[in-house]
Amino acid sequence: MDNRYRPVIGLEIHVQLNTKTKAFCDCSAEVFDLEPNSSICPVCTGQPGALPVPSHEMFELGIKIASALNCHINLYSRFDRKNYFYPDLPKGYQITQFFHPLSERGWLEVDGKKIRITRIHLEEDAGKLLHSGDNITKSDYSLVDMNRCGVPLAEIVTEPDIESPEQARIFMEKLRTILRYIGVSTGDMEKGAMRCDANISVVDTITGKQSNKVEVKNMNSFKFVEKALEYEFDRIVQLMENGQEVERETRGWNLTTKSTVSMRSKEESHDYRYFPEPDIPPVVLDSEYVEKIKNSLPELPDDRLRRFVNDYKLSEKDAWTLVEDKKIADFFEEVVKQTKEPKETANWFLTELFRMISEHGEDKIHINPTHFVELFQLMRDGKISRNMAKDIFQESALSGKMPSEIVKEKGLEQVDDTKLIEDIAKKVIEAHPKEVEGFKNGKEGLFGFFVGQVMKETKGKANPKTVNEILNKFLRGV
Amino acid sequence: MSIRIDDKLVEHLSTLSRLTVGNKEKLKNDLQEIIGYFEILSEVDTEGLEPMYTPIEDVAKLRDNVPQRFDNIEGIAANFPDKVDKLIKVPGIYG
Amino acid sequence: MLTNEAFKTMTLKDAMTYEDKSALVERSVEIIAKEDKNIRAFISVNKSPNIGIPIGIKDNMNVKGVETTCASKILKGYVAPFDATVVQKLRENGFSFVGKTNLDEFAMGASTEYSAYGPTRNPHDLERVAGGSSGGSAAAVASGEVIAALGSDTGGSIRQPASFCGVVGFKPTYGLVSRYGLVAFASSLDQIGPITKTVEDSAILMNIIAGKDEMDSTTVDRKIDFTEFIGKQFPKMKVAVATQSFGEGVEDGVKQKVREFITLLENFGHEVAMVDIDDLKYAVATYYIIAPSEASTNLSRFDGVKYGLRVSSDSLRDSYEKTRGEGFGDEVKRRILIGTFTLSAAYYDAYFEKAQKVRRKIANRLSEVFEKYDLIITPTSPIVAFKIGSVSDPLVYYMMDIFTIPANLAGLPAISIPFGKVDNLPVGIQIMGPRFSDAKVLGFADSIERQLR
Repeated sequence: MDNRYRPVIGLEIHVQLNTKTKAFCDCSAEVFDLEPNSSICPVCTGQPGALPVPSHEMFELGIKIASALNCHINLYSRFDRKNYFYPDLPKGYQITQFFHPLSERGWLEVDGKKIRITRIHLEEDAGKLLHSGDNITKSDYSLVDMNRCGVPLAEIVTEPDIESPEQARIFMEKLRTILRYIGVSTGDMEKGAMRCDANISVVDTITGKQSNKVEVKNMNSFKFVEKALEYEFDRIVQLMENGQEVERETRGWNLTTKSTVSMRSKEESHDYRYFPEPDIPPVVLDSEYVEKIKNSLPELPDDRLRRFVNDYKLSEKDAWTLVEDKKIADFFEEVVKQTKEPKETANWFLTELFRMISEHGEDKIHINPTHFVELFQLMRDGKISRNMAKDIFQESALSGKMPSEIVKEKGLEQVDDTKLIEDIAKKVIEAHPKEVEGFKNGKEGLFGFFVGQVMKETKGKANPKTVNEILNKFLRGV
Repeated sequence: MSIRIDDKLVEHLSTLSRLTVGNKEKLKNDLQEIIGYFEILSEVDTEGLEPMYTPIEDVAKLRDNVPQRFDNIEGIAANFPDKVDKLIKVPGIYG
Repeated sequence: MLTNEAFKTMTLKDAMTYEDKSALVERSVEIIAKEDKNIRAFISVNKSPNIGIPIGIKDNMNVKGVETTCASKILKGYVAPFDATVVQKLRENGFSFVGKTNLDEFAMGASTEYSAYGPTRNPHDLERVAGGSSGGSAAAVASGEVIAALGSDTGGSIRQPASFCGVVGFKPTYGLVSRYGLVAFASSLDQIGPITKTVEDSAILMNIIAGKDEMDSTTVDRKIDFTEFIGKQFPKMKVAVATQSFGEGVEDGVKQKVREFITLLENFGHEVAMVDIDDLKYAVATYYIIAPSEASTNLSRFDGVKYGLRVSSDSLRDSYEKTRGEGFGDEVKRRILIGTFTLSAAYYDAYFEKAQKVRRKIANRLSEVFEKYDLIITPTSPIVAFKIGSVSDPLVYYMMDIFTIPANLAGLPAISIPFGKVDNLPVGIQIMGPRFSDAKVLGFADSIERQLR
């Protein structure tokens, strides 16, 4: 099949906004890992008589996302009800924006391609259902935790512009980077702070035929987005090759079987009966207010990438690795400001620092810009070798001690005293007449032996450059 | 628009609204009469009129975000029809 | 020593200055114990009420720690975890909640017959309905069981029972009184208001319960003194009487009372004109699309998961259907199904959206009338209180709301004041004004009431 079949993918992404309160009530929105049903009130649990009042901060964060994704922001937006029954939906409807979303028509660039954003709207999250037994379809009862009910979400809907499962994953990763940059969400898929559903259909490029759309859900990591779509692509292609109908349906990614399975019986009709939420008048935003929020956005990842490439002369790949995590990128720039050596600093980041972070975890690392400045200075002065520097860096990073302090403590400072090295070299030459003879008879390789002996005598602290010079003088007379 | 309310539609509506109904024949007739009456609106010229979803003309005032714990969570939990610890227990969704 | 008879006719104005508030509560409790066996105005009675002015609260408003039933089986046992905003305000102003009053289930009805707790009886004739849906509140005030009561009005549910029971019922401009804690029937139409013995009492209660509420996005920030024109000499007004007041379906006796009212107004020096508000004929259809649409989703929360009745079953789906099937009465189910129909994707434009446009048209037409006239007069109800069980056709029922519905559709203030009797049954006249003219409507009604006395 190779290139005959081409996937057409669109994404619907739910982003949990890290506002202080829930979307329509005063309950704290920080509900992850909380005691069940402990951050609830009449509004978010749908008590009779309770009414929703939309939060300010939800709009602020929504505007930030919309701006970062180049969307047009509608000053006039409105909430609507989406009606369906489910035990995690206390009111029997979700408050969302169906007719008049907060924003529309944006894009996000991935691999040089602009993926169009159809709309971004605000809505409330549902609660959590815990199922008895290990399988939702077999459990005889479920348990409802309403803590998450009413946590604000931004739903981002893309056009079907994504051309491969891999591109879908990269889109999601890039989106997460942006969300973290602008500080609106942790974007943590594993914790459900960002959730992704995908629509995939397949085009047969020879016949021009396009399959029905299949919706894929339950992909709760970046890797699974790619894996599930790959699986689904293969499955659809298989059906098309066999001349079978591709059913319009919703399928869920099953982690254990590494496959997608049909989630809903097709006879179940869905009619969400959307209509304007009568409990909330339209929201009309002030254009100055929107402008102010737009202007408050930090430099976005793509802009920063360009700057790193242009100003620091880094490769695009290295630059993105640094840019991807805002904290790292911020720290990198702080260090560069002091070391004035972007390339060298980038090298240390990409190798040593990243290795240490992955080995020890970010919170165990106590390094700051002055550590780098000192370390680089010690190397430049020839006081420590590159290899020594790595060890010192590691210790500095873990203990927070200054490199010079470590050098002093351990007596690691290079011996660069010519007189002393000369004395030692003389002693070494006197002690090894056979080797001197051999060397003079042409065994050039023995030069290294003498260097090694001198280093051994100085416990490795001699400056190798000086040792070389002195031995050259004594043995070769140069 | 003259719509005919048949068994299938009544079935569909009761499924969507998740309720069992008793006397289906009477219900069907009632719905036919009531919904049939709505057709009087088709004679109204509503060209150019904005729907009036609410009499409120003001725009929504957005709430400041100051987290506050509701002071009677126990009162909410006391109404749970069935529970396991702090969680509401419901029949299995596919049962 | 306060006698039961004196208590029964005591106004809110007098009760507020009456020093021995515990005597008020004692009289109220005593009268309820004696009379309510017959009238059945209350669903629940508070056995040990706090000391204050006895007020009846329609049982679709939350009083913290007290059952809210909405006269439905589906809420059986539900104890409200919070006070409605209006209840909170009454609490702060020294009222005593002696009981929760009966209503048509979820306020859907015009007779209080559709109550899971049985019908409330009209104090003027126990064979007859008290009207509805706030029939319990109206009967409780009319019988003197309480000093005043709160009702809710979605299509006439305060005014019509007030008219049937011969008391005053006021529906404020939509947005003046917080709906927080009022169990929603149709959110864009519902409004809480007072049912009282006098117009002045309604104005006094309004001053207590009205106001912008941070918990209700649909409340507006307007400073209104509802008693501003109470007891004042009222200037000459231009009054429109809807010709529909004499239309088909209006009982002759009621028509006669409207004629008398017109004569009275003219005698008082007001300028009265007959105005044909032809769009009113679309009001009932418009209302019975919009109200059930909103109701169908407002009532989705009653699913047996979080509170109230749960009919257990092995499957969730089955539990939902049985809980709602057994928990809701026939009228509520009928309206849920209608609303589900009018909102469903295939019919949304033809019904819901169309109705909202006709609503605009009716509101525009009323505004037009108010450009020329200060107030609009109609009978509150085309008929007087009917016999319990005598009406079974739902559409006949719906048609009774013809005069009260427009105020809800347009969000206008409207009051029903008693104006004599036909065959010993009270007749109510409705006075409607433009949005936020509440103080004027109350003042005008008060001036007439005073002159009648």
